[in-house]
Amino acid sequence: MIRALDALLVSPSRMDLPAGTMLFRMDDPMDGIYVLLDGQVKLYQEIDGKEVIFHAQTAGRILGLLALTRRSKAFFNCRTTTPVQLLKIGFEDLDQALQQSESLLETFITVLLRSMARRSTRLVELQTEVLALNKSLSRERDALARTLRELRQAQAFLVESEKMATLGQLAAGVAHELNNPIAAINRAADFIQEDLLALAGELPDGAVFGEMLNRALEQKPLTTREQRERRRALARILDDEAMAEHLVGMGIHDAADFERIARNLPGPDEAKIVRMNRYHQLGGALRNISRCAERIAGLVKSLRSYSRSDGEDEVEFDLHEGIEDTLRLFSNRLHDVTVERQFADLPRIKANPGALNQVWTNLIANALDAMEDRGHLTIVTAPQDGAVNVRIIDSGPGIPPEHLKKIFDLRFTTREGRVEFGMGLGLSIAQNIVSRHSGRIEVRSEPGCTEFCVVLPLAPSETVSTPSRSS
Amino acid sequence: MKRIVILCVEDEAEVLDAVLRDLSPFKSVMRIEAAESVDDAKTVLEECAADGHPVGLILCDHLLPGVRGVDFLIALQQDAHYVATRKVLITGQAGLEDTVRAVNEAKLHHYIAKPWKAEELQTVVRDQLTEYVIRTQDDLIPYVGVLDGARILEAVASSGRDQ
Repeated sequence: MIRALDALLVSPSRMDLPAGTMLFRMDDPMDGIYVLLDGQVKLYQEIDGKEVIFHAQTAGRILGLLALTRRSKAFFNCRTTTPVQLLKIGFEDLDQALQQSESLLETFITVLLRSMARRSTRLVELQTEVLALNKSLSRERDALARTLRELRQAQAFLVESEKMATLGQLAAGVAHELNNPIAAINRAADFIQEDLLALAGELPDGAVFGEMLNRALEQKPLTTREQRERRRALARILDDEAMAEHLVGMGIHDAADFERIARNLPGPDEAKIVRMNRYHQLGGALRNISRCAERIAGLVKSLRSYSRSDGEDEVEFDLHEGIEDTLRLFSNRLHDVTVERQFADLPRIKANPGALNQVWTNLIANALDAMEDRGHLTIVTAPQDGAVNVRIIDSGPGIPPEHLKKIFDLRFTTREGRVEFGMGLGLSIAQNIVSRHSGRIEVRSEPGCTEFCVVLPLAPSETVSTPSRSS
Repeated sequence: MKRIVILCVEDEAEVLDAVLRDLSPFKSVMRIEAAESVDDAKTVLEECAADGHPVGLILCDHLLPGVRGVDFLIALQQDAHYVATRKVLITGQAGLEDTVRAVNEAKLHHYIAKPWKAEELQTVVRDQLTEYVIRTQDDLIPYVGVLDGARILEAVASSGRDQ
């Protein structure tokens, strides 16, 4: 072909160019083609500031091929990669030559077709390459997304457990601090009682004092309804409503009782009642101080054992204690909940008590959330070979089947738009803790009965059982 | 004269004792009733209605067994018989949401947070009852000594001028 072109075009000038020469640029107007006689070029485009090579080995002999078909602008940038020798032939010269020689036309078309075929093959290769790249990209993207999710989860757990640890320390500290004043209050109430009773022995109306004091201290509490009934009954007998009110308030339910106590007091009935009432109030106040101090002491004990700072240590303990402590700390939400305990005689379990308390807390909180603090909460414990299981059953509306699979997912919460208790972390944290103890949580739910069953091996570290030596 | 009733609704006996004791300065002119649940409170209201005692003030805890204090107060507000009754919530446990409902729907007149001080409780009760008697009672003189005497006398004087 070269020879034919030489002949027809009277030896068009050959150009010798060094490597790295820019032959034409993309979108340059083209007035002819280049025929590559020797050396290599690359055809490329600049995409997003980067050089993307479409053809290097596959460029073929004829450059400006696409411009030839369109007779217009260059489609690629073309740069020499080695020293090259080439012919430049203008479109008009080329047309002329091709019209003059049929054999040249044929050869030219053959070369053209071969080039096009080679480039087209290269395109398919490029396409395949892109597909493969896309695939591996999406794999990497998925892996990244997974890692990100896991990182977020780990971070959320860390934040949560850090928060719980801090709260636990605070609670334990406060509980400890509370013990002193409670002890002092308890003792002070006892002292006052001793001194008052001693004083009663020395006063002229001491007998009345002592009796009223003791009545108040030992008085069995009546319901408000019972009190009203007694008051009405006594008012009918005495025909004096105000008097009946005073007497019933002091735990005196018949006139004879009043006469017996009051006969040792001077003055009119009104004065006697005022005096008796004063003594009775003293006793009542003392009784209330003692009862309330006892309640606080009980709460403090639960708070302390709940937030016991055992760290990560596993100790042997009675599972029921932790459940009871947790329930006691939930008492403000249990006013309208019937709590039924079906506790079996369980072997002591080796685990981290603080962590398990968090499991009970999260599961019970969920149950109460579901029931809106109203209904029936059943806690069943049972031994199960080498393990124990704790079932927490609520009478709430149940978890829809489509949610059941997702409930352990991080931040799955049905409280739309409301960020509260654990921010949807509750169940995933519970599951995390239980699986750290080599246990598992099973859930089943139907309307009116949702059960979370926690299965815990007796000693988690020994779950990979070693064959016993005797066998 | 039928004595005006102050009704306290509180389920914990020790706390109820304390509230009742703090209310004792009002005992001479008011009748003080106690209830430990909303059901019990309803019985008291029925008994008062039967005996013809007007209910001037309800002091209600929020966290009661069964019906919550706020819901009880809301239901009462819808009963024409108790629209004039002053309503005070005394609680340590009502959340913001419940309190807002109490203010909006039960026209709650006052909120006392536990633990309270006797003086605080007595001031609130005195103010609310003064308001109640001025609005509802024809003869205000018996209340001058125990409630807000200055305000009551002012009310008496201005009603005298009106006539």
